[in-house]
Amino acid sequence: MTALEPSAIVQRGPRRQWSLVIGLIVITTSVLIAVFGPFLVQHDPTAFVSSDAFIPSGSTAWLGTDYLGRDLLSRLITGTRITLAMAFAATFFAHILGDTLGLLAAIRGGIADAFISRFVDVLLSLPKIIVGLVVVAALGSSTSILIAVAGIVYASGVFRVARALGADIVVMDFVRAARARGERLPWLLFGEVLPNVALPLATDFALRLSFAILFMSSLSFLGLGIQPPNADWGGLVRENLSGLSAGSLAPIFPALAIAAVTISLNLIVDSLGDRRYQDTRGL
Amino acid sequence: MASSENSGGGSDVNKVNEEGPRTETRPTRRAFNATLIGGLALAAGGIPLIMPKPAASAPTRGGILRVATHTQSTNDTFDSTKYIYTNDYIRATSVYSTLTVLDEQSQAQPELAESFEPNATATRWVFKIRKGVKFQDGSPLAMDDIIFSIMRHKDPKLGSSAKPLVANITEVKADGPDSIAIELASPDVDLPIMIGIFQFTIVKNGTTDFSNPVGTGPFKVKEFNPGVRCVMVRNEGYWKEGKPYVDQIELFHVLDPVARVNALLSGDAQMVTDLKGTAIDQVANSSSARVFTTHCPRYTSIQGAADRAPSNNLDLRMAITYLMDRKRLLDTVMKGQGLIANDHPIMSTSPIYDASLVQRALDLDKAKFHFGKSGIGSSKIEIDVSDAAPFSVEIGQLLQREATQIGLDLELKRDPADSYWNTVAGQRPFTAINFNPRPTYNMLLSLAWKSGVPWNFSHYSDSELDNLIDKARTTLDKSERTHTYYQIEKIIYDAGYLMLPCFISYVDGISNKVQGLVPVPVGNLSGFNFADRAWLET
Amino acid sequence: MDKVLVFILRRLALAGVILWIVSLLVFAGCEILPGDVAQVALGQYATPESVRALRTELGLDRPAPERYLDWLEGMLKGDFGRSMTTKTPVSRLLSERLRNTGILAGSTTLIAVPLAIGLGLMMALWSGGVFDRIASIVVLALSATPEFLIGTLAVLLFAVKLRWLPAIANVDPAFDVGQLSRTLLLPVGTLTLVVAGQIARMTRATVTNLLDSPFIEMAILKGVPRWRLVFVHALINVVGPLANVVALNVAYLVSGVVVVETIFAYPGMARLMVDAVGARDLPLVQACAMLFCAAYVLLILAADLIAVLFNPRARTNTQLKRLST
Repeated sequence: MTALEPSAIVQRGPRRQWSLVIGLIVITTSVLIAVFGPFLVQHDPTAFVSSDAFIPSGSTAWLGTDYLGRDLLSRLITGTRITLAMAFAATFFAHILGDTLGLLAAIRGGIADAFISRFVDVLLSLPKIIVGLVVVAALGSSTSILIAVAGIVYASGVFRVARALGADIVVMDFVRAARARGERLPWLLFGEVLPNVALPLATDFALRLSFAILFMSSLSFLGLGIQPPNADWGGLVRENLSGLSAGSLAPIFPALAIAAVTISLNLIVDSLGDRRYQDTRGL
Repeated sequence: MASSENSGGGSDVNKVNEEGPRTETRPTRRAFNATLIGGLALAAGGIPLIMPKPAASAPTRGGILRVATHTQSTNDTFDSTKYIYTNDYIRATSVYSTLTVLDEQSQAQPELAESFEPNATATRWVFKIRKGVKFQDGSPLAMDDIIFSIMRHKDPKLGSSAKPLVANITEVKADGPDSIAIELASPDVDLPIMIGIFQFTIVKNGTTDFSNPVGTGPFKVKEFNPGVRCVMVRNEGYWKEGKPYVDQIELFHVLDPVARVNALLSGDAQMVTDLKGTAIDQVANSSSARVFTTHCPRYTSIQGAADRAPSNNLDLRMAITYLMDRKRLLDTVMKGQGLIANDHPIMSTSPIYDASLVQRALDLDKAKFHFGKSGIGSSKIEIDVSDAAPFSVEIGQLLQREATQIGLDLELKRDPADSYWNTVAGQRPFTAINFNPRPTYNMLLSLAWKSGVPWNFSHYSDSELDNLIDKARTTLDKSERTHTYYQIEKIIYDAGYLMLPCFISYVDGISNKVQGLVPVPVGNLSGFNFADRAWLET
Repeated sequence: MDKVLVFILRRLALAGVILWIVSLLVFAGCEILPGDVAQVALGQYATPESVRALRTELGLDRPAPERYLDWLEGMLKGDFGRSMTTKTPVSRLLSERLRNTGILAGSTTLIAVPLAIGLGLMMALWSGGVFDRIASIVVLALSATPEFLIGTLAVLLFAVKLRWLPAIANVDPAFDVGQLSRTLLLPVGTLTLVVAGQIARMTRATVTNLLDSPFIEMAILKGVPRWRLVFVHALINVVGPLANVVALNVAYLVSGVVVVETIFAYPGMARLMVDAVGARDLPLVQACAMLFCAAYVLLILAADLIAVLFNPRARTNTQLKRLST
């Protein structure tokens, strides 16, 4: 890999600006919906507005009803908060864990590095969705467990990225100088390394957020999401899937919401981020 | 992976079926009145009642029948002591035979047994066995095979699921060169029905290894990949002349409900089990397939545990009962494929159903009243539901929604299906319980409501109820028996441990090319016994 | 060359250790799960006697360390043991599922990888142009859309509405190539869309990045045509990260496609493991875990090897050491 070159990192040009703008608009809207959700809903998301399932959009329900006759739009709005909050928490957890271990491993090097890296390799070799299924089957599907599972599962990927980033920084002169000066680990970590990896890690955060949303919605799709009657977007897709063959668009809306948010996150990352250290979806 | 077993009895006149002679037959009034569920046997002479069916066109031979089922397990087996679910039973009826089979009224019809008669006290039944039946390897059916096939379920080492059922059988012996006598410890008027269940398929004397199944049934095993596929080809030496009609049956599994109905509609399968929700409409509206409904006393309930708080609080249980919107459950969620129930396991269409028990329904006032009396206040009440009990998640959501209207803090916990029965069912205050039908109501009551039995998920113990259940099984007089069942229903209804909103019909989808199926309330697709009934139109 | 050999041997030894640790974790994990195979097998209709009988039959009454060591001993001899739910040898159950997964993963890889890399390169070649813009949007949408949506829509359109293709992927050993293709078209198509999106984006990104670097500038000054720059100079230099992405995606195709296997009822390895966990069938679970882990490790090793082989500069001791750790 070539050394850090500012020109290679940030893309310029009008197209990049468009992507950034669109991405930011969608994400901001979603966050606003998540925050102000309860004030925006027309009906209570658990209330039955009709005795018919899957009625098409109309005055009672703007996006129609779900499989039990509840207002889909209201459920979608409350689902926004659930989806984004859980994904954010999971990604945050993954980064706390992964960044700390990754940067420490890069700075320390030696046996500690080798040991942790091996362990992370072990975790990475297990298919994420299966680990998720098994843990949730064992411990139940409460919100905290889902966040913890997603966090741990993605912490490994974050670890690799952080370690790679850290490894590149650590060999630089200013770090070597700091070490020679006798600076201790906390200074090295927070003072020298972290400021230089903050931007790439932040872009990883955004990207990882999109992975977490997809991962958790896949788990919900397979039936291991949060407790009913609450549902995140993946859960909404699952419960209303039968409507698809009846011509209802009920499962499409939450799926589009998922796609919109993940695409927007990717757009933002593309415009701003450092491409070299980007992980794949780590499926 | 929920296992599903089957048995049951009932016919339903609620659902009007206008589709014509090819689908389920409407029972005539006389036949309906003569319908006997559970402990009622027809005249003690055991004469079977045969329903006249409108004649369809003559069956054609040939074709491959592909069947996609809704459950799957790598536990697939041909060992009758280990049968627990749909696919086991389908394979059992294809490869083996039983002494009797169940018809649409859940009555015992002759199969390997040409006729059967009890003695005066119903403690001894003699079955006259058909002559000339051969196993698929050519060897003739002998009385020892039958004796072995029944008595092996008593062996504790085999741990058969049918062990409780044979507990009443003291001896099975040959009564002449082609008759079997079954001696019972206590009278049982239902023995011919019970002896026809899937666990009592007839295998060769001494069989311990079931990897190469040999039976007297209409099909031979060609390929068996547990959990994936089973292919069976016609047994040319089958003892029913001219049958089976189809050349080959392929049994496989599609768990995803959307994929399953798509398989039917796209022609990948000619029969699929367990249609739900909009899939039912899809198939009903399709030109290539039709809905095949079987009404039966299968149910999903919320059961309170009698041995702990807060479920031992009668007013709380009553409050929950009156929060249940049964109509919405039946119409919106189950698409009308079922029957409203009244908190006890007897179907409203049954002659032993006590209509004087007031039908419970959603009643917020009564619910509020009982909730107030219960003293629960703002404590959180948790109900455990699971995909292991069909519709329990929806039942839970309906309850939870209504509970918010009266100030009761009801929360749902959805547990994974895998270990639900071992770790959750019956072990928390309120759990969702699913019960599949049995050939007789008495069997179901014995398995689920007697003191101390494993499937009494409410841990409810009432010696009067125990006695009544036994009494019903041994009473030969019809009206006395009916009255006994009325008493049983009242006890369960009043105790309120069983919140049973609806019975769940079996809803299958079959291609319009498939003929010959009749709804048997024991299970899907003709009570899992379609192997020698089904034929394909060309 | 022998430096590379040492590198390979070190990594293989490491792989062995990783496999062993995974087996311990999986065993411990299964023990912690509520319920055991006897209870789950008998399910709703379990009675205490039948559970006890089944447990003894399967040897579950022995202590955990003993069972683990037994299994380990068998593994080292090449015996995967017997499935506790079907009593058939695990190797037999595995081989058929493995074959199915191989077909699915193999076909998808053969189609998706060249397609994606080619697409990515073309996007880089004409970067900023109309093709690039449209392709970028499509590729981004695909890689960010949940695969259950793609799969479900595909089934709805092609199997139910148009009736062109089967809704479920029923794999019969007796199928000829034509029938097999028809059965596999939808699942392979769905997975191709999922995977190609990722690889194409990655390709485009790394190549355009590289096009800004000095040695490319040199080549431009020397008069090398743009297509050569992209398809030859740049490509060779991004083989490393590209191989890595491809390896990760192939690992996903082998072990992570639970959702697609569910939608199409495809009897592959991912569903086998999920079902085995559900049934608490420990030998089967262990075997699947070993296979997935081995696949992942070998794929990453292959990717790293390709990176090293294509980049002579990376074959220095330090670089190899870095990759080994």
